[in-house]
Amino acid sequence: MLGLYVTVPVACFRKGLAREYLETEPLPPPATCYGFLLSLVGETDRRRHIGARVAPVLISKPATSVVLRTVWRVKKTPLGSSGNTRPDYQQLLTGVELVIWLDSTEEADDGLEQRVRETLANPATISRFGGLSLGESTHLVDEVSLVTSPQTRLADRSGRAFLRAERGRLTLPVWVDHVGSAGTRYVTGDLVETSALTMPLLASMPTISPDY
Amino acid sequence: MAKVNKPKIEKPQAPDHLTMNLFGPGMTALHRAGLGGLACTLAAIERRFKNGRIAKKELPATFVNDTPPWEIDEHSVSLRFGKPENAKEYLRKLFAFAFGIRKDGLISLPGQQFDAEPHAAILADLQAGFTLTFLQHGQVRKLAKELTATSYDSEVEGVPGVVVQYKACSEFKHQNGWQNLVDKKGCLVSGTIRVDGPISPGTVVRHVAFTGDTGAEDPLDRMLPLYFAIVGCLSLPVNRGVASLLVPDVTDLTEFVYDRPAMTPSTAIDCQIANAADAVFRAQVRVRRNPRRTAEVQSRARKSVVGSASTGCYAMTFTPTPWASQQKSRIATIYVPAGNDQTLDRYDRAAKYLSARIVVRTIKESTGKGKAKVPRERQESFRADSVVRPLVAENLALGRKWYFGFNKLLTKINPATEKPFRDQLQFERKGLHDMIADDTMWDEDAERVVVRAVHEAIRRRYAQIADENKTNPAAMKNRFGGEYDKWRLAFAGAKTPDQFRKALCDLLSRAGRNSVLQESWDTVLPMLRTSNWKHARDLSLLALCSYQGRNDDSAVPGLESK
Repeated sequence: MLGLYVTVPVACFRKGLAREYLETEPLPPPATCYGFLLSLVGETDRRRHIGARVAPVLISKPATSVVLRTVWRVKKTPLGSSGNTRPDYQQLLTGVELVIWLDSTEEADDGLEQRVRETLANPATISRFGGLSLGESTHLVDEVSLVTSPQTRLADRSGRAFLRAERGRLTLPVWVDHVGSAGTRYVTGDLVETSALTMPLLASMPTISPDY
Repeated sequence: MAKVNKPKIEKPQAPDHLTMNLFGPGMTALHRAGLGGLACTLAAIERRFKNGRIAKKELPATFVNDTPPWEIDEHSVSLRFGKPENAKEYLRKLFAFAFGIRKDGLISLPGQQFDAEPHAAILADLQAGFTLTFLQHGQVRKLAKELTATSYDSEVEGVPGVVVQYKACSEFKHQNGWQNLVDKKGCLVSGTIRVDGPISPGTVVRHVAFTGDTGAEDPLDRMLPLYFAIVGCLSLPVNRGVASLLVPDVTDLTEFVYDRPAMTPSTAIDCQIANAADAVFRAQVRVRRNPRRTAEVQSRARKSVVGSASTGCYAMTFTPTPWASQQKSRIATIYVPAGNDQTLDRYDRAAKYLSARIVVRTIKESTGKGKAKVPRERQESFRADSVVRPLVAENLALGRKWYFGFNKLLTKINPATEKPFRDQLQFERKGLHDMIADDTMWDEDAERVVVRAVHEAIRRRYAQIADENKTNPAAMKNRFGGEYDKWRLAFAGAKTPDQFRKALCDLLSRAGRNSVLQESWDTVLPMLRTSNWKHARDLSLLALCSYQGRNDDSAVPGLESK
């Protein structure tokens, strides 16, 4: 298992059914973290690392604000036609600091965990494109580093981890249907207080899978 | 070429039951509230069955040995159809009971009520909430063109109660929702079902040009709760164009069947809400106070509920936007957690001191023309609301000081009336005075001392003015008004700590000896630091607006003249 320290200055982790007034989840869902990790290692096949376990831990208390932005609502083709955009409100989180725990023991060989390690050790060997983002493509990541223990700047930090719970109050996607919503798969969990450097139990980490 | 016979794949048999879990994957707050609404509806059928108030043919399925054909536990609801093909009839009757329309055209949802038939005016107010949230689109409900009037019971003898107008409803989308859940054979459908705005407000097709692909869909065990979200949630109008939708954070279905009916308003004042946070706190206070709910939960030997806060709630605000003026879009959400008695107590006091009120006005009318003209007068009641309470409610919901942002009430325009908020503050002076006199409203002594010090200074300034204008009451009154405006502008216009400190020191120095400051100067000083100056500014304005004469409540210089 490895932990990644990730900071995003401004982000929105949009709720699945929030299609007007774009609300944000309190922290990035496992599926969002998985997409970020794939982008980090330059992987374009989203099914390549199904079975990876991902648990985000929010270690900051981001301020929430609301902005008015342009959103796409395609009413007619071609896509660039007038009337296909409209304003809408969006919630934004400012100052997101995360530890993302990743485990690939249930994956086949050359798991995502190993690829992330190699990427951070030798970034020049990776072929990838686009700015690295978490959430929407404009929500660029500021910093990614491995959590190594003992790491002084995180030693005293604590946060809230999204961990699986049978009767959890929060339901977050582990696989997203980017077109409709029928193919989106969720897990139920709770936000659990934990220290930033405490590895979660494997069984409590959500598994990336389209087959729940 | 020889014909190849494909092996026949047998379809799995349709289920004879449907179980919905409160904490199942994909169950959002709205889904959980909907499942709570379903549980409330089933509990209402059980109550009516017990009292003999429901005909056997109206039951979704037969009760065997007084046992209903469903099961409700803390975290799930199971519907038992007997045979898979009975699902159609079961759901049809369930929906017919759950989503009723009375003869007078008012929507009646039995799951939202205890046994007593609600007053027509309450239902009319609730219907206004439905038509601004779930049922806002014309195609999802059939309303009469003409308005119908109903009124609350009179609170003052000889004066009519508050009149509520509504358009009689003859049909709405939820009533036929069961048709989407069953197939031609009457069994439950498999796969996913389209979710739309009337079922789940805020959910829309992402791209209309690709409706088939980009709509939101849910499987049956999440779709049925969504249909009942209209029962589990509480929709209330703020005014004709704005509404709040309360989505209770359901965690225990067996308790929610008592909580939800207790949340439903029962008076004209209860139905008058000022914003989303206000609506949530009102509902929580009603739940906490409801004797029926308390008795029911205690009799079941569950945890004591006396004094404990009730269900947490998400609240959404719906209003027309400049880019979609034809519909009411979600423009804000707020979450008010459960379990904080101090916050709820403070809101309760604010609601008491700054309550909405029933105002009676006299309307002069005449019939006929010329010499045949007969003038007459009639009295009419209407609801007038506080402009301070919504601010207090929102601050408490967000964990801020209850007076945070009070300066906005002295500088902003009320969008509902297009007049300055400060014009309405004069009606709230006594309420504000009672608020600041209540010790439980303060976290620190320093807050109270700042208010008292400003009161003392203002009192001395008014005394000086009165002394200088003993022989000229008109001039005295004008100068009182001018003095009030001077400090209002000085405090509300302060944009920096230095500006505020200058204004406050100016007031204190002009007022002369201030006994409050002499006693508690060291307590006040921290409030003037840069980190606290906004709080001190809000408190100073609060003191200015709540000031009233020492002996006579009605003798309030300054505000009176405004």
